[in-house]
Amino acid sequence: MDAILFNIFNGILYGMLLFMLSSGLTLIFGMMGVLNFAHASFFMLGAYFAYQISEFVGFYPALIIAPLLIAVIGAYVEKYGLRRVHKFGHVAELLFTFGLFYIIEEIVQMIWGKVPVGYHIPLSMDFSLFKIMGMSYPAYQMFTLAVSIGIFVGLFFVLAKTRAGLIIKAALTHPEIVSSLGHNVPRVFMVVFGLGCGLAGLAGVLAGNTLGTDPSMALFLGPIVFVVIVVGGLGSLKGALVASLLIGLMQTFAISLDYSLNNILEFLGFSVDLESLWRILIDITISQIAPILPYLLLVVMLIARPRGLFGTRDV
Amino acid sequence: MTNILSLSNVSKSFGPAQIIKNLSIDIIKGERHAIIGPNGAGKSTLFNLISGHYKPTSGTITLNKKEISNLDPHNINRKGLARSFQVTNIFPRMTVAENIRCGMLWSKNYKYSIFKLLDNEKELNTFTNNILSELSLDHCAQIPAGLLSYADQRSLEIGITIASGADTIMLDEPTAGMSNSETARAVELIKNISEKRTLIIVEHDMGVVFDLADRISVLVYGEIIYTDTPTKVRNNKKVQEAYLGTEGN
Amino acid sequence: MLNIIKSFSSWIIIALIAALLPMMFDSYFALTLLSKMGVLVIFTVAYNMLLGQGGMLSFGHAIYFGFAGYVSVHILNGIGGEIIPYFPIVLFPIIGAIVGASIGAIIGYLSTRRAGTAFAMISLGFCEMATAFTLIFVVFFNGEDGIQTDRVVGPEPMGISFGPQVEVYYLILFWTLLTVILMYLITKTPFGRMSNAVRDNPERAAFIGYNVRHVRWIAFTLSAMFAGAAGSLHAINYEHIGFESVSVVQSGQVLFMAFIGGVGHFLGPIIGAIGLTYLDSVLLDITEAWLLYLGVTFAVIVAFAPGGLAGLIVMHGPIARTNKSLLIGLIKPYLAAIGSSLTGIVGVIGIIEMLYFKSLISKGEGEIIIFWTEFNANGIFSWIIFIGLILGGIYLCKITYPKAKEGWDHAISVVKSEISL
Repeated sequence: MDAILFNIFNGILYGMLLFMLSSGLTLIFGMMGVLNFAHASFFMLGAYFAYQISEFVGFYPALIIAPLLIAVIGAYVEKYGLRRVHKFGHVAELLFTFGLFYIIEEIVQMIWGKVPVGYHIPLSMDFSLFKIMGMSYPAYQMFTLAVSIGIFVGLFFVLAKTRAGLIIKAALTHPEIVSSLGHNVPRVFMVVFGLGCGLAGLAGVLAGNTLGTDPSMALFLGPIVFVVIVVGGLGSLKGALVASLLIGLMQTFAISLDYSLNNILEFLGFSVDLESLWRILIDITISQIAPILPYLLLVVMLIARPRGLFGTRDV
Repeated sequence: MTNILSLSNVSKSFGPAQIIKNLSIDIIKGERHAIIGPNGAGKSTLFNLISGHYKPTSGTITLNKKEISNLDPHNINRKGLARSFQVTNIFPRMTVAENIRCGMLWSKNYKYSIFKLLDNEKELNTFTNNILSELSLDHCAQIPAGLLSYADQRSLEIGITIASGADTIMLDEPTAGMSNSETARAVELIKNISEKRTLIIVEHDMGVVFDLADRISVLVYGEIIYTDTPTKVRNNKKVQEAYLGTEGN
Repeated sequence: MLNIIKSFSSWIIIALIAALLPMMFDSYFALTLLSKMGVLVIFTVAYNMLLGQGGMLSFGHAIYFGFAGYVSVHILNGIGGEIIPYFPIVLFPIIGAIVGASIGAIIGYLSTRRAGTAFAMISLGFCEMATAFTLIFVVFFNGEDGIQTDRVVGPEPMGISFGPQVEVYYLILFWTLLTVILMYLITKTPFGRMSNAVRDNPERAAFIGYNVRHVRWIAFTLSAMFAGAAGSLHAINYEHIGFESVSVVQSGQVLFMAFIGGVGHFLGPIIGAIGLTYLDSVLLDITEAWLLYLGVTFAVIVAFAPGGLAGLIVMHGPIARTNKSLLIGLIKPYLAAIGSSLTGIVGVIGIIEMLYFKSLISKGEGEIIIFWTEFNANGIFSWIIFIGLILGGIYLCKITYPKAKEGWDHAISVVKSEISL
């Protein structure tokens, strides 16, 4: 029971991290139709910037400065790079951001090297906040959870209650109308792109010290985020949230389950010959195939419901 | 006189907005039938419903006595209905000749073959050249279609539509944006190609409509308010109020 | 008959030149490079069946390439261990093709349920899944180490064992010519033309009777089939297969090659594959920043010349056909523009190289060799030179680019007026 609770907590934590990443991506996609392949790269930059800044002035300033820096960089990338590509269509935009992903990866390796850097949890939060049934819940994770929930609430509030949010929501489903209503669409794009990247950067700041900060971060997390938004339904924030939590919980539980098909069979009273080929297949534990699970979910979703859980817009 | 295309109590809603309301219409085989009406009446939606781009919210559509209401566009086309588009919808990167040739591939049974080299198919290429002549597009047969003038592109648009040899042709505002001389040429072309076929045409140019049509249906706010021969339509009070105005021209 | 020979004359000439290359370049390095080029030409042209011809962007094409390699390696090892009856090495690409087509048909059936960017993301998902597969199911894939093999197995017809690299080269050359010609011919078939039609205007294609999804699925399967053939040759060439051959990195490489070469023209991927493979092997030793330059080049081409190199060349086709003197008139402004760009680019490269030097190697002690000249990365002088070059380049570009554009606009307007006559 205690393990289950712990897993739920970690699953939600991971899920909220995924949501912070996928929300930015969904906003960008929903508004501009651009699927930002480099989104996880900004996540990575956030972690690296946080590391570098905290080396000088500590974690808390880094928490504020790094995401802002990333947001500004994202805005400039939109203004001087992506903007030129809009006229060539969505596939071209995706290709451009793919090139961007490549470039950021190389620059990161150039500046900080190929080995992980020592970005650690700040000492002020490196303790166990409380224990439930023998499992300790670290303070830093609670802090991360609090921040990500705060972001979610803030995003929800901005979108639902403010005028800017109204414009963004409208543009999420009818971008052409928004522009004909007289809003400076290029400026809005730039701001949203920057905001999305900033969110990714923030996720990087928060997660970099627990997941480890190295150049392969983007390649590791990127595809999962894409699965999240395809499963959730492209352009739907609600879908992104549900899919993030779903995949977060699924992954966390899967990794902790060391059971294989063989265990089930043995439980049922069967046993398979040690030498046979089948044994190899059914000996594989759930924890071993955990990395594939999000993609299996993608395949199932594709077969059953290509639009995703809450998909409204088609590409 | 048989009906080749019938719509029976067809409605189409997009969310809460009902664009087509309980519409019924019968198109007689071999006739030239024009559909006119003010902007926003639902003419494009009607075309999209018949050709399969939209599925009706309720009601049935039959072609040659077979129901096509829920079929996909390619299946409807295979059953003998072809349409053109209001906004020119050609293959800009292919040559004009290839555009036409592609239009007839399925009906000539080439399907998805990877074993026939199209340039060597004599009969196919002869048919293509014939259509090009009909359209007066021979001079630009090898030019990428995207580089053509607007009027030529509209001709090509019609050409692709008839290339499949479908018995029922739907043309969506074929003379939109044309000058007078271009329009006259287009009307000649349309008359020629619809000789042995059924033609349904949406048009705003009343001159074209009264010149071409055997019968006219007037579509207003998603409903057909009147269907009859051109003279009767012109003199009908309801139609005059709703659309034609007092001049009837 | 004469027509066939005429149209194939360029292919025949290329084939002859390629066949004679080993006479001139007979070092092991050269032969390995040429072999690698051949394999990647097949892979990239196959990939372009999907991207350039079919309009579908896939980040997961390496799946078919890699898995075909794995199956080939297992069969080779099986033959070597005399568990499986002999199958001629010459015919191995057929095995690869079958593997590629089978997996491609399945994944393609699922993937083509969506289009555009969703399709691209799905392909990425499948690629990640395949990579994870290869790392998890160690029994079949041997995890991170990959699988070794020996291509010298079985009887040796006419003394050809495929041990020496030159023999492998000719094997690859044969299959490259065969597959590329086949893929070229496919573009001229009903399916090929409809694939283009679906790319350009899927709505219209449906309204002329074609099931758009079917067309895409077939394109996907055929593309995967040829990619599989390439994968077999890849495995034979290196006598090894590993998870990298299935990964997003490999898929990205072929995407770069196809796009930079030019997706709109059949020769584009061939140019891209040969050019980038060459640069990759040569520049990797000269500069640490090669991959960065590649990424920047790719991004620049996406933003400014999405037709790639082939596109840039073909763009001038109508001008050449209309009036050759127009084309010649463009040479001067083009050279001026290129020269200005090069000035700036040299400056940028210099700065990047020095940055790399300072951060990665020995934290910036000593001298670095850029463009075959020595520069002191610590002294301010080197930095000033390169920054000066950048600024000079920008200034020159501001002057020469408008002139080049003027020349182009003029030439194109002449061409357009000729058409409407």
